[in-house]
Amino acid sequence: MTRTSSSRLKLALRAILLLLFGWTLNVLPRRLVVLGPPQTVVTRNPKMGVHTRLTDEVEEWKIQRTLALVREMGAPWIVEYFPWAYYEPAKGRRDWGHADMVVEHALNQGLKVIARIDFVPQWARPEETTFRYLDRDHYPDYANFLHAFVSRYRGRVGHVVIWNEPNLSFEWGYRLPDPEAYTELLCQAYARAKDADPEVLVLAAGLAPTMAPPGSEWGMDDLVFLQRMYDAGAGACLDGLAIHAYGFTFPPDDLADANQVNYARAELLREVMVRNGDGHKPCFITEGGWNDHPRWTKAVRPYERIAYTIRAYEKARQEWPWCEAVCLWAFRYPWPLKTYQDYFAFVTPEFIPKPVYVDVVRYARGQPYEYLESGP
Amino acid sequence: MTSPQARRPGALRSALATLRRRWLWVLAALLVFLWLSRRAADVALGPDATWSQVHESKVLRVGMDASYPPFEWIDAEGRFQGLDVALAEALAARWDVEAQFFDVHFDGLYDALRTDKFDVIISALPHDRMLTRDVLYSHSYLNAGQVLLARTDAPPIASLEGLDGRRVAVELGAQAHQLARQLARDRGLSLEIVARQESNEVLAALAEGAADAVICDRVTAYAYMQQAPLVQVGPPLTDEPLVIAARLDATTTIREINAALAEWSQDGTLEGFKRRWFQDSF
Repeated sequence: MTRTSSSRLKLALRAILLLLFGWTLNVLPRRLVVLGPPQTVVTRNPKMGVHTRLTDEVEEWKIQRTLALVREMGAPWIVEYFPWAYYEPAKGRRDWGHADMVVEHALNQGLKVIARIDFVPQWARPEETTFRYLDRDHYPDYANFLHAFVSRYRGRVGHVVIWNEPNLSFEWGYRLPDPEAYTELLCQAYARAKDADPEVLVLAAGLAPTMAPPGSEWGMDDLVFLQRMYDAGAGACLDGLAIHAYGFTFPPDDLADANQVNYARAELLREVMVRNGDGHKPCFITEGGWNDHPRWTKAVRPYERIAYTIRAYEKARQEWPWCEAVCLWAFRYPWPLKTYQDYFAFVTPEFIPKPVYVDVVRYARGQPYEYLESGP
Repeated sequence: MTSPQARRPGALRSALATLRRRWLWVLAALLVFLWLSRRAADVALGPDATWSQVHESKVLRVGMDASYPPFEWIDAEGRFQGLDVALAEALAARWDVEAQFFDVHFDGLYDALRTDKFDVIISALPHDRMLTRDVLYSHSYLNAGQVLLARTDAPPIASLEGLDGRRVAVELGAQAHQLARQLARDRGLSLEIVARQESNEVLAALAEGAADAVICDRVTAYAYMQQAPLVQVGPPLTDEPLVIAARLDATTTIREINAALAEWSQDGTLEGFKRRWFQDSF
């Protein structure tokens, strides 16, 4: 064998080894988290739900664990936030990796997904504006993104929520809340979503429950905002209404009152719908609940939170036929926020169930409570 | 001509002088380098518009969510009250300006700061490591984490391990409750957890002798210690440093805030604020 042919042989052997190595990498399981067999939710109350917060959860096993805990709690519904800016960082360039992961795991756990969509990418807003700033010129961009989202998850994500709390200036890019402008956005989004999937239910945004006085720089009364939406033609652009039903310091059985922000304020929003000929459309509580921060003036004691939470689920089941789901804020955060928000959670970032979770599980299973004195 | 013996002390002196001169040069160079670095940082970040604005307008605009007594709330007459309000007013007085308060929901504080609705956030604000590229934080003026308090009129508890076989009172379902369970599990402590629904019931459990110690946050601890013979055992069990935030270019503002906090920490001003505002905090 000549020296040249010997070196060729060595080169060929090296190439084969390299190919073998590459093939090995390819056949090794790339996915460290497996979906597992499809699950179903066992519960005595099919309206139970939570708002998960998987937006910034990177690790797949944590997404899966979170959703498994939701299922084990007995809640068939989740609301999840899909920030437009995350999935379309440049116009027309979309990356669905994270959204696919969340939807896939949620469905595998037997959960129904309501998708909230907002958060404006940098390319769709002027410099030095916040992520909630969207002007009319870019409404079609939002609607196009929604079309892409609904197309991708057709038959898997059945509900989309257009924007979040547009009656707050903070959620409207620090501009005065504008129900007519929001309705224009809603109608453009509705048309494009229906183009993508006529079966998808388009929900108008959950409004922040507030009694802000007329002309307030910070927000607009939610009942006023909703009526002005209807006056602007929103009735033709929504299949249902998302509602934010926070109880703050009031028990869930306190009566609805236009001068009070409590859980039953949901009934007043419902009345606006009925008054405007939308009584046949459903509502979905996409945020709500109670907070047990030790000092926040809008919080309750931890034992009260447990009792109120369970009663809120039960009230919707017994008394609110127009309400299809009660998704309370918020199941778990990826990391401690170290603010009052941590005291809304059902489970810590380390997956330690809080007492409210423990007793809600028992409610859903019809078992005696661990923390509350009387059983369901 | 001098002899070598006579020359040696002179040579030594000369060598030492040279060495001293060299060190002086090194020191001078170091000082110049530090000064230039600081100037370069200032130039890179731009001038502190916040500091200029506060002094030109003679107003320090403070953002807070005034729904967190004893840190901040609005009283029946519509006045801002609380430790953070006192802190802001003290800063304003130090800078010879007026403090003006803006009540903004906690979720909107950072965006409002960014859009120049106010100059600083003073609102029982926890340090957030995720935002250190977006805002400047001051040094902490309070660690509001959980602490262990033990009765001084009972057999002493010198450390967490001393809790073994003892009774610890917590508020039912609160963070302290979870922490007590976690301590028992992780450290293998035989701990009897006495859970009560309200903060005052926790204190009552101690007074009745139903518990030897209590776990609560640092703010509640101030109040408990005013009303019962209790002592804090060891450092805080969890950390929750509270800070002041300003826009990213507000380097001078934050430097001045830190200087004030350091001074007030030394002379007892901060401690005075805490005692005044936390004594009835539950």
